[in-house]
Amino acid sequence: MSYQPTVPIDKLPSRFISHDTESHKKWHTGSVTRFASPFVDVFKDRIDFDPIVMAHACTLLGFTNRDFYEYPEIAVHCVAYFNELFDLLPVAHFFYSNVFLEKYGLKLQTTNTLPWIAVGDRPIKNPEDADKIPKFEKEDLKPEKCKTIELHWRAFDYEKANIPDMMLPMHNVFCLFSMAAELVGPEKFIIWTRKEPKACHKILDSLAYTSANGASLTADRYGFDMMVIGSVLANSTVLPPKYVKEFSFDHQRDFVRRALAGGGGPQLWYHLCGDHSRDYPIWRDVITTPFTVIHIGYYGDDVFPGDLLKKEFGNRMTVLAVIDGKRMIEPNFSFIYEQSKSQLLKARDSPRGCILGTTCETPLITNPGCTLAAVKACKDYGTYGTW
Amino acid sequence: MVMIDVLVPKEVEDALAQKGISADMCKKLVYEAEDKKIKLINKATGENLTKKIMDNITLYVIYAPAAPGTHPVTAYVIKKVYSHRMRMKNLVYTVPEEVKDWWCAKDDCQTVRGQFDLEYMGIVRMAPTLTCPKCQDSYIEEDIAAKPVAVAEQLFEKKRA
Repeated sequence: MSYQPTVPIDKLPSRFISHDTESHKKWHTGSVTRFASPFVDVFKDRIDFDPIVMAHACTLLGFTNRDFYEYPEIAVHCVAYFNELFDLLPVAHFFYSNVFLEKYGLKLQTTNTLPWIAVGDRPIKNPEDADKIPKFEKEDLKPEKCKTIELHWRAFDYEKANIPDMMLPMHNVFCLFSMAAELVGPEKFIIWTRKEPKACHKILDSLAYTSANGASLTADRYGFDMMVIGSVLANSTVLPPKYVKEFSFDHQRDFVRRALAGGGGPQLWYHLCGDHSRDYPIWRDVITTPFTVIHIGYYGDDVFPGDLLKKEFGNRMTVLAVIDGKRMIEPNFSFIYEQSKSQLLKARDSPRGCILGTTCETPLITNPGCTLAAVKACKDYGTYGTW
Repeated sequence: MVMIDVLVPKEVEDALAQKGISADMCKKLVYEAEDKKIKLINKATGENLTKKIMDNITLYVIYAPAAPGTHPVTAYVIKKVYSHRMRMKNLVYTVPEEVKDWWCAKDDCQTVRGQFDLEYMGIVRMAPTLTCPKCQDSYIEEDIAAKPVAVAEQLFEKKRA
């Protein structure tokens, strides 16, 4: 039997407070100004905190992990409410990793604690299979033929109908390298980067092509889409920098240029999860639009230093300095506050704006006291006008 | 000045009128591009791309020989015109291995992908360009001008108003 939502979707809007209330409008107006600050050099209020909240928004509010991934309507309404609860961003969002992989024959499922993960056989078993990998056109990706687009468009249509002031159409590329690895099997794919590089490139080419068409399709429907582009498994722990460039960075550039030409964007959000201590200089040369944010998780075992982020990227794009997402589950609020303070002091005067965030998605069991601690640090040390 | 005709189709002329740009200005741009070789050439399609930075806008004209395959070319037809208000400030970097289809006419070499700082209302942000690796002359492509750059202009105007 399929999973049933905690609250039926037709009843969902009535469970939340209307966005027509004066208190919401007042909060939203201020939050929009703050959110836009780093992109337009008009610095107001304070630096924003973006914990990259996903299923945690649902579980904190009494819903479930599966509600988030299988009922995107619940996901976006919970994210919107969570953002207002903690005075965060004025937008709702929905995305997940492993997008479009079902089109390639991979079976995905969620559990009570996990997002859409690959189960069963991998569709690409040998390098010859890579020769036959399809590239999907926009027509192939319409919601009736593509679960990824169906889920995302359900989220955006729900936002449009119920919480339009917080609507944010997005296209999640996720990490092309990670997704190629899912199609082959992660260990095997990493070995193939040395032994079968042509097969790797064929798979990555197809994923970039398909994803660019997905970005274009969503932009056709909603007018634009913020594109999130990641390098997650392709990091310094797994690959030497030369390989990160060849198998992740170069294909991302290919994706971004195709997607922009197809109407995707204009906002680009580069999400470099994991350790990028050896490959971070490569990422200075990502394609940027006037609305580009970069975010790097770790430098070895430590959070990526805010001052290094500012020095290397601050003159090129908006930076998102990070606190350690792993520590967001602990009842140690002073640690989060002090780490937020330290990163803010290092990066807050970055020339093209600064945001504070977590190293990756804030965990499902994030301690709400930690979210509050990071926001308090932004209020105390992320203010404008005293630097 | 080379002796050529420049044809402006009705639909292009109508689009120009909407932008408040005269057809004569575009023709003059083509004459200058041909005379001084300040243009990019797409050798696959035969199209040319030239630009002129004016007081408030940068104007781009895409044009092609009216009768493809004939030499010398005696007439060009304007195919598209686009513009942006963000002012081109400085080239930040190029990616030399990312070679594009467009060639710089002056240096007879293929362009590469560049990233250029653009300035508008005191705000500086980057956008991708086609850039000659020798003379560093850089061009914003139509889709970039039409979306990321146009959206930035609108947002900056709204927030700085």
